[in-house]
Amino acid sequence: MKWFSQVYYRYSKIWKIVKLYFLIAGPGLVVMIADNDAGGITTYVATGAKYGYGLIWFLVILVPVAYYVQEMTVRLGAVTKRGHAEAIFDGFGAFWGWFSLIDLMLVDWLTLVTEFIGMTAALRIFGVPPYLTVTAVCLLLGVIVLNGRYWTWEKIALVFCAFNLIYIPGAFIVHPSVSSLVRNGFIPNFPGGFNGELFFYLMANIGTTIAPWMLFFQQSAVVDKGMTEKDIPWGKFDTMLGSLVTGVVGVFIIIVGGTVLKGVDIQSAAQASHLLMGVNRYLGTFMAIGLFDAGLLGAICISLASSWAFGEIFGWAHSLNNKIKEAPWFYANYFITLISAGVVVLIPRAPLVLITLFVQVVAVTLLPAALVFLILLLNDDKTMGEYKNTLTQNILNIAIVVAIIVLSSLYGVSVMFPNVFH
Amino acid sequence: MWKIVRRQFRKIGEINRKYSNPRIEMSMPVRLSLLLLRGYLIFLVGLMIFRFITLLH
Repeated sequence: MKWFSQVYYRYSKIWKIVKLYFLIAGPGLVVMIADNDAGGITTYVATGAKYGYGLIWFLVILVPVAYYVQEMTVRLGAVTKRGHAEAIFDGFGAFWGWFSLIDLMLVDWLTLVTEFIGMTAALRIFGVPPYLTVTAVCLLLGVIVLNGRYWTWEKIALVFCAFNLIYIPGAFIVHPSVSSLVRNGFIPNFPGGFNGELFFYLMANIGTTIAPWMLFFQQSAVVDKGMTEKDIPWGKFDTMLGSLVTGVVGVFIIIVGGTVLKGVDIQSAAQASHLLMGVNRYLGTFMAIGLFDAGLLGAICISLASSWAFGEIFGWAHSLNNKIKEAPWFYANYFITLISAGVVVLIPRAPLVLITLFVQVVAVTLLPAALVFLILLLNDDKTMGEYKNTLTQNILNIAIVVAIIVLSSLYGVSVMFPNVFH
Repeated sequence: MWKIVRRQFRKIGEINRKYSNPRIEMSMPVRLSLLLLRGYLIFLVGLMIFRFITLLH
């Protein structure tokens, strides 16, 4: 009896901690899982189809990389109570501020278009016409943000995050060879030798793991949620868990691609879903649902990132806790961004492939700037006080930021000049 | 409508004045980082313009 009561006591204690975490959980988990957006899913499937399990180790390395970068936004947001755009304006002046804000608006809008491309392609598999998908998504996202509470928005976003896990049962359906997975996937190697094509895939994976909108989004979300210095450990844990989940999901997508689609030239996740339907109906369905959910999650976060940033700078009310009457410019910005991106996808013969490529190039102009500003702000004694970067954090973060800048720039160049590394 | 546009332009002027002086201390590493960033962006934009012109031809 005593043993039973001890077990019950421990169980209820753990359950209380889990419940408490899910009350506090949010920005880190949402931003990291939303990172597996439509473009990300396509990159992972294509990586698996091209190199089998061979590059899983690289994705594992990217988990701590993503964590260390995003963790800085948690500290900066919680200490300064300012979004990243406002922090740049304040710290570095109007020139760098406008550069970041306008670049962010452009990158976010283009990325949002790619999310709509993913969502319409996913639902077309089930016979849903694109105009219906775009209308339904705009209405759904409208209902989610107009409920007038940040907390409710965040919990709804977390439900959509859960759908991202659909790739995990998908990987079990294909029965991957565990020994081959361990041998080829988790021991660092360059399948087929280090060449231009492999380099392109490595860079594409980095490009999908660290995106500029994520920095702006998470910092603004931390501020809107009202997190303070004492919440930093929870914010860090939230971000760590999010980066782990996003890495695990990415690995499972590569497993699906590497097991069933090895050797197939994958151009889009929708094409992969079609092919997987031929292998197993459930698998193809899972892939299509996952792609739609990924696009939806991306759209939920990206459309907010620029609205928050504009609100911070123009001094408009810019919280999800505000009703539409209290923050008309914030919601107008949100809906204009969302609806215009959706409409572009419906335009016949719109240059969607060009837009998809252009996103990578424009992102390369914003990401290095945003990362450099992040490091400099985190080293500002006056702003950060005891929460500034330590020497170890600086060494680690500067190494990560330099590597990301170099590789993402090379990726951008390779998108502009496709034969440069071949 | 014209009033709203004028108000927003006035607002942009206010923002420029508000953030005219960077608050962060312009130490040597900060200056160097910003200089490198400018150089990097000029190079990248130049590359984009070059690509755009070659695409047009």
